[in-house]
Amino acid sequence: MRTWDNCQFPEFTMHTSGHNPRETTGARLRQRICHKLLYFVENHNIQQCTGCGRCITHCPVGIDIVRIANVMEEAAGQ
Amino acid sequence: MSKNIYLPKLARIAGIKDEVPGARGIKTFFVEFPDGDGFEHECGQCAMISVFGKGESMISIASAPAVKEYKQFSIMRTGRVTTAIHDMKPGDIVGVRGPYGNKFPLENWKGRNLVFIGGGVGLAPIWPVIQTAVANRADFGKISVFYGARTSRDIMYAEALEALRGAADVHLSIDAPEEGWQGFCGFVPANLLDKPQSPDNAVAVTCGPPIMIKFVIKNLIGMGFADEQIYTTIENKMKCGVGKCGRCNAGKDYVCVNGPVYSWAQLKDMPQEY
Ligand SMILES: Cc1cc2nc3c(=O)[nH]c(=O)nc-3n(C[C@H](O)[C@H](O)[C@H](O)COP(=O)(O)OP(=O)(O)OC[C@H]3O[C@@H](n4cnc5c(N)ncnc54)[C@H](O)[C@@H]3O)c2cc1C
Ligand code: FES
Repeated sequence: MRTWDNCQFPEFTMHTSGHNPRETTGARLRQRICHKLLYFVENHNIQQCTGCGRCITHCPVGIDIVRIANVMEEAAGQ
Repeated sequence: MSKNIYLPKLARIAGIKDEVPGARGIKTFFVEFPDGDGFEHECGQCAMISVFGKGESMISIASAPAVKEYKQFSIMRTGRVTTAIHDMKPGDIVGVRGPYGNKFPLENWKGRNLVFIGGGVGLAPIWPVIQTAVANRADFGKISVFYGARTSRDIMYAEALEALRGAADVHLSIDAPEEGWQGFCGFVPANLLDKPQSPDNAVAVTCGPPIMIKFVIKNLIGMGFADEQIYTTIENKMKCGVGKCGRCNAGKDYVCVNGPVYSWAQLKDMPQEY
């Protein structure tokens, strides 16, 4: 059975009880970014983002992963 | 061609036991593998149960690893899949894939006192540990089992819990007073406070609703338990069960692979995504 699903939907992680470990848009964005740039690198030593910029072009709310990556890099350097 | 890891094995429901009545009732299913392709498991591991045309649900294996003839699953009716399972009859076929996840390190607990604290359907994941500890009674010190449910009718494994008395100290609780109730009235963490447990040479294992786990751990720490002496299981929503889909992770930790069993020493440093 295949259904449309996405880690940015609240239902993606919602428990049966209604409790949701990633309740807010912010928590889900954090998951998306950290998955690509942090967790996957730590677990498998592979970068998940090639920097192609397609998601920046199409993002309806202007989220810029390159800018986020640069901010993370800066923060890590401090 | 390589084997499809999502392909379930066919299992037959050999027996069903009603545990708790009601809209969010609990039934225990005993399943066997008619094709002889059953699997071994460890205490704390889970399996994906599927109902064809409905979907899959991750469920803890509630029978002890020593039980080879069948696997036991105690399931609360909560939604699409679990309702479909509740409507099944003995002889019906479900899909099972697994076992998934890590285990309770029971072999490291020999000679120690064990304190189990469960609430609601959260008794199921720790039940194989309790069963294994009691079956090897001489290997362990004192065994205490705390269990609470909303009302006396919501207590799962009622007879089996009574049968534990003698081998273990059993402390039952219900949320509000009822006529004829002999046990404690109040929430599970309060029952634990009422019967303080010594941290000396002890290990505590808890599973239940997140809010219960939170206060149980707080009370255990208050009694002097160290972070390494407290174990729990994390039941994040799961779909793949094999560390691919990214539903269950707390930070970089994939609960379906590295969990569901964690010590508080591990958990307290992880992002609070559970
Ligand atoms: C490691 C692990 C072990 C587990 N062990 C057990 C066990 O031993 N026994 C057990 O009973 N359970 C166990 N569970 C929980 C079990 O997996 C779930 O209860 C089950 O998957 C629910 O599936 P369902 O299809 O029946 O419910 P679903 O149909 O998915 O729905 C679940 C509930 O969520 C509600 N819901 C769904 N979508 C929304 C929405 N958008 N907004 C608001 N509400 C919504 C539904 O109304 C329903 O009440 C375990 C879970 C994990 C992760
Ligand atoms: S359930 Fe898919 S990653 Fe854990």
